[in-house]
Amino acid sequence: MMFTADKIALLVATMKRNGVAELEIREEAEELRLVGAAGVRPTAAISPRTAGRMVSATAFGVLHLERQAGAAVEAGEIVATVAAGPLRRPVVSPIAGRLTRMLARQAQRVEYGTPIFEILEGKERS
Amino acid sequence: MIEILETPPLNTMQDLGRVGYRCHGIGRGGVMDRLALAAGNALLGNDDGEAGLEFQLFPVRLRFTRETAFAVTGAHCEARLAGRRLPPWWATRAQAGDELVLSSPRKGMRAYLTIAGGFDVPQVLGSRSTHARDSFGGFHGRPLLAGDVLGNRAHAPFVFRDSAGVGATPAEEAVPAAPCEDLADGETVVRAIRAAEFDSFDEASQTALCRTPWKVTARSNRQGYALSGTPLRRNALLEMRSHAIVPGVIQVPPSGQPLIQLAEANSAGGYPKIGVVIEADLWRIGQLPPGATLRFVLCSLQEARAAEQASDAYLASLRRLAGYCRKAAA
Repeated sequence: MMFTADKIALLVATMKRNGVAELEIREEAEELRLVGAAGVRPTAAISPRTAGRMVSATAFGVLHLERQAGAAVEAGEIVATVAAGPLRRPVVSPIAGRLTRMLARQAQRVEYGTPIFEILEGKERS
Repeated sequence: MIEILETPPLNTMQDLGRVGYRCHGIGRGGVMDRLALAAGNALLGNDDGEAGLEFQLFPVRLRFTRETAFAVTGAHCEARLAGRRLPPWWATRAQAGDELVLSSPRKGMRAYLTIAGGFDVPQVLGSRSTHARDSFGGFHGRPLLAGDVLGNRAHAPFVFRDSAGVGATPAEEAVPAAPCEDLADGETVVRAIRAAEFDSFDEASQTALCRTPWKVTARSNRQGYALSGTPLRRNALLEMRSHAIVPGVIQVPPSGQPLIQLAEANSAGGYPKIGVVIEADLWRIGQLPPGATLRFVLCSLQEARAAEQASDAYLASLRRLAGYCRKAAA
């Protein structure tokens, strides 16, 4: 038996942590398919109660910062990228505002939901 | 469609070049950075060799007159789409009316704009490369001018899964250069194999080729790069007949200051050759501005093949992964 209960539990935990909804693995003669129940959500990194909101990673990989703390950004603007192999995927700001605090380092390994910047909502542009 | 709003001279449309016509005196031409062009095409799902616009002078300003998926690769020139900065080596979708601005590069020398479907210009002798000297190919056989309007060919419609688009790890990070002992900061290393006249250079010159730095002079362009450094001398001065040459050849004129023939190399030349830069490293030279410092390391044919396989593997992996980041549009 390749897929022990421990191994499956580990896979499920990894899926949850990274916001993976569906996983299919084939190992030799065995096949395993894991589907997250509806409502399985990645760990939310946004807390509406704090003054600053977060810009968080949306993929697993190596972080490349495109903006620094202090930068004014628009909603949808790319503030960082996450590299997996030769591919880079965008991390965009969910709102217009100013990046107030850097919460991750350049070249750090990030997962789905890893906070990258704290952002203070506001319309001003630098 | 794209309208060029502003461009300095010498920016042209290029693909991977015109192969098979050197016997008629028509050189290969094509982009100076083959990896950057191919990576842009891979992000968009185009064939590797689809033509792009090669920008070597800046600033460049253009407007998308229609919604268009495009990529900017090569030199890091702080591309801004509708005022928003794009990461280097990035593909995304422009809306009709969006302006794209490319500024003088912080790193590298030549930037490439590729578009989904490729540019709608006819092939001439099997290529869309602009042969500027003989005025054929590319966009009306000439460099781009403000007011030019370039269309793209029909392609299967797609959207990026992330609406902000998708990018590639720049080749200079993803495909490492050869190691070189006593390398100084900021020097670029390229591999070369020995050429026919290597043995006719004196020992000091053979050593100097790889052990001393070479400065890229201002007399460097798409035809070739003129280097300055320790003069290279031959044991005996022999006149040579003109013979066929290829991009990458390192010629040594009587001054002893080497010339590397590049994309727009003539099809023949008469200077003795000390080495040939391997194809897999030519793009590194294409990204060097005047004033940069170059180092050579000699390699074997096997090492040259391995270097080519490393670039191919990078492109293949990028193409496969980028495919997951697009989906067909209704």
